[in-house]
Amino acid sequence: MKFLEKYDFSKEDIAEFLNNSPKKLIDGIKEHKKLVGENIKYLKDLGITNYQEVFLEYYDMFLLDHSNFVEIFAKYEPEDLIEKIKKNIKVVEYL
Amino acid sequence: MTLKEKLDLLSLPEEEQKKAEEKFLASLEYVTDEEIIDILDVLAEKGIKITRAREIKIVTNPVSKIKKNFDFIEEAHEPGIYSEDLNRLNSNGVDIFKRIRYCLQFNIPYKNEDGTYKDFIFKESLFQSEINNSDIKTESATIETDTLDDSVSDDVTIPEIDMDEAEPINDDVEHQDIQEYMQAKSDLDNIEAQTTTFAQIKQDLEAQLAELDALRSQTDYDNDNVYRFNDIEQETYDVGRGRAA
Repeated sequence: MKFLEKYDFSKEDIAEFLNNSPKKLIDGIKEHKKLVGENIKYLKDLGITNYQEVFLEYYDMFLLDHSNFVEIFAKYEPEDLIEKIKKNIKVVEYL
Repeated sequence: MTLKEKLDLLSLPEEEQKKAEEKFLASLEYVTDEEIIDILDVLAEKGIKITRAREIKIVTNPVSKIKKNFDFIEEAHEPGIYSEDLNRLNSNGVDIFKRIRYCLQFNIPYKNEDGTYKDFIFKESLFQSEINNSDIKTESATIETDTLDDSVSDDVTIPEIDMDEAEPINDDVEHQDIQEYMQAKSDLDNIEAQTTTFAQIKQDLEAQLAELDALRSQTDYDNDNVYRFNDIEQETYDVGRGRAA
């Protein structure tokens, strides 16, 4: 799961994630790290400051096909989206 | 079975079904329909049902992990942990259990005023921050195991992990951890039982000693009387023999 360090995840966060997530999904994320990385990068480039928190909470979402993943967020005004997610990441499931 | 068909097994409410289809379906790629049903059965035994799209990933866990997590929380008498947020079942229940025990040992509140659990119980980094913010030092932050051998004492610190080697903890290691813990707990229970027995024996012995002391005192008194009687007898003898002064 070293690829997450590229996206500024701390070692503690990665260790915590490995210890508290279903093994099958961890394996899936490793298998599709390029796709997952692409989705993480999208949020980071969009300006979502707490994108790491979003991943750690909704990591299964990041296994979505990239175009479907982008579609979830693209229908909102970026500034509005950034502010709402920054305030409370749980809003992601309602997007 | 298609992903949609697998999703239908969960019988989510309509609104959640839609959310699941849009965002959370991917995790079902990693489980079979049989595995989904097995997890749903385990949850049903506890009267729990998946009702939210974000909880779908629970079914990607092994049944053994879910069962162990329930066992630990029952042991800790904290059934509310999973009913508050089912996604906590994805976590390592042993760690949650250890943090709660630590909080109980050092009187650190781990629930909010409304009875919900504080976030730090579920995240090691938050837990460490909580300890650092309290007056308890990490060196002394061991769960009380003075009467157990060192193999089961715990320091609540984040271990150094080589990221190149880092792998998720497998079920065998978790199972071994749990076995060791349960054995240690059993040992502690036995020691406490023996301690109780020894305390009782000591109490009984002390009572017997007190009785003996009482008897000894009585005997000394009687001995004194015997000596006095002997003196009188001697006097009488002496008088009889004309020896009295």
